[in-house]
Amino acid sequence: MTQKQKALSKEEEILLQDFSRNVSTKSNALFYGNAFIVSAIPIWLFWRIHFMDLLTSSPLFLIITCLSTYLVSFAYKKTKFVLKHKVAVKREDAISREISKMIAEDKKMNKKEKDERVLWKKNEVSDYEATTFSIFYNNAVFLAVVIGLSFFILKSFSPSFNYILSVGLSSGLIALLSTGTK
Amino acid sequence: STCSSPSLSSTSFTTQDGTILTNIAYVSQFKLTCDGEVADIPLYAEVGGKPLSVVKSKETNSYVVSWLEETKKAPRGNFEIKVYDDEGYAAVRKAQRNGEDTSSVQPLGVVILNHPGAYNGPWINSELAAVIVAFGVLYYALTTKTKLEA
Repeated sequence: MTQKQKALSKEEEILLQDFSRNVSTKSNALFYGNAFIVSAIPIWLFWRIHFMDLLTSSPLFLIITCLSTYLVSFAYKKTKFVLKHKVAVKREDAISREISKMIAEDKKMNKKEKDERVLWKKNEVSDYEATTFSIFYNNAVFLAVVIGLSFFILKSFSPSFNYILSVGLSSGLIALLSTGTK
Repeated sequence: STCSSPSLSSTSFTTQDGTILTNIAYVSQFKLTCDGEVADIPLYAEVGGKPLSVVKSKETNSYVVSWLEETKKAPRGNFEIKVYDDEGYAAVRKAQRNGEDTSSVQPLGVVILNHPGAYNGPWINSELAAVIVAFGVLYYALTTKTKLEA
């Protein structure tokens, strides 16, 4: 009875991981690290090109960067969750074929174990692909919107206002778009 | 005072970078020798029918002629600066008053100034190039996402 429970809970664990919105610590660190770097990039832009003084504007830079880091990593997590299932569906066949080929000679493995392996591999692959694509996609949108806003639409505003609005609106926009349930 | 066997040697300077300027400067510095000796006579200059004042530097015994043109209209190429002495210039003014062709008056000498053209900034400015690249990457990201969700 306890062994069955253990086996079930392992499968349940994989399924939970698959459907859970919670990200692992490693993914979390990856997301926050990337979000921080991407949020810090506009500082260089505003310092060197819009001539904002680094020292006097540093409190503003810090606050906006922290806010943006939070919103960008929120967008990463949401986008990753939505994409993970789409990726899993797309990659399922290829992964099944690969696992079947790998364990074809191993006659000791029963169907249940094979399915478990396929499920685990599918989870791993779709997790990785969704994570990396989520980071790429959100970074692309964020940076394109920041450049578009700061150089063209908010050009006539003062640099500080330009910075607050362009970074704030961009990170807000990607956070908002990521909550879409397509 | 007249100058016999005049000989002119010159160096010229023109603005090469017109990115943030409204006018291009043309400057010609020349030395006049009469009979092998450095001359100290007042001179007058004319470029393309336009009279110019000639300034003389006491220390270096050289004459300087300069004028400005708007960057957009500034022509490039060779400019002939006709140098006249008192007599020559009086003859030019007389011909102008009478409506005659001033090229009939022989100048003391002709200084050639060459303007190779000035740089007026890049064809696409950098923020436009950055936006084009950023939106190109965005387009690729959007199309890949659409394919994934299909």
